[in-house]
Amino acid sequence: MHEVSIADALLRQVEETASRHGLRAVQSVGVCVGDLSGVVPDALSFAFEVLRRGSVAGEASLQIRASAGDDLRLEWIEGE
Amino acid sequence: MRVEVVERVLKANDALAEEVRATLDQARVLAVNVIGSPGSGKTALLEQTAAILHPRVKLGVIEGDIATTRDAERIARCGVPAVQIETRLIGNACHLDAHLVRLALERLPLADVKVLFIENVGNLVCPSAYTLGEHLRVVVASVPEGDDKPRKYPSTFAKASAVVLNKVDLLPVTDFSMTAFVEGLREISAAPVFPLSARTGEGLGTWVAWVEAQCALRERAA
Repeated sequence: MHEVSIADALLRQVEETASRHGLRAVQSVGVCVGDLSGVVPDALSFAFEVLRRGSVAGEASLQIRASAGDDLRLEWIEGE
Repeated sequence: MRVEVVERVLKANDALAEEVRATLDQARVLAVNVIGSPGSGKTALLEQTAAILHPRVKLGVIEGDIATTRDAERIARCGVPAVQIETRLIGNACHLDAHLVRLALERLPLADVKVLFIENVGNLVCPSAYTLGEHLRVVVASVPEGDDKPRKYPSTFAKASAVVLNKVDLLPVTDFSMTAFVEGLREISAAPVFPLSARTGEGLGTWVAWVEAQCALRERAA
């Protein structure tokens, strides 16, 4: 229901992590989404695609790993 | 290059929630996040709770709604300090977050508040993911919503410290099964259940006693 604000928080986190590790472009982002997190994976992917433009993750793909529980975590980023 | 991260996507909210909790702890205020569907009777419960409890334990209320200041006005008429957050001013947010609560706290006379109720936006889904710095979470369900709600919204009910079942005065005119409701809840939570009617006053005493006990426990721990 609020996947856009989640995607926004996620992108900020990706930008922060990328700058900390000196990455200029992020190609993929791994998140884990629990079945009780209240987040719909498809809606999150859509929001991510819309919001990533112009960010360090402008071309990045979002890899969602489903898990049990209420986890909603950024697990890794890949870039150069 | 791959960078392993593993941090909560809502960590910014979590950090603010910790700040809120520290502010509340310093002021020795017990904060209760009240979550429930629109129309479940969250505000009515707080009005009735205020009528009984406010004379001996000072309350404060933060009201979260998408629009209007109606609920804060209802609470203020009970003589309880109330602050309204209208999320229509910030993109119609479907839940409160710790940042909004932190701003609202600045407008409350915390030194005169023992128990702070934070009435979340009416919604059984989104508020569950956002901690506000509260000490307790109470879910308010009501008889007309049906007895299957704990099974249908497990993430919300699983995190409840207590569950209020409001509108029990309507039991005779609905097919609501108390057994089914409690069984569904017990699959995911051991939280106490308070069946009551904010309209008739039935069952309110037990609920209020629980709130007062939580307040005393908190005082003793501090």
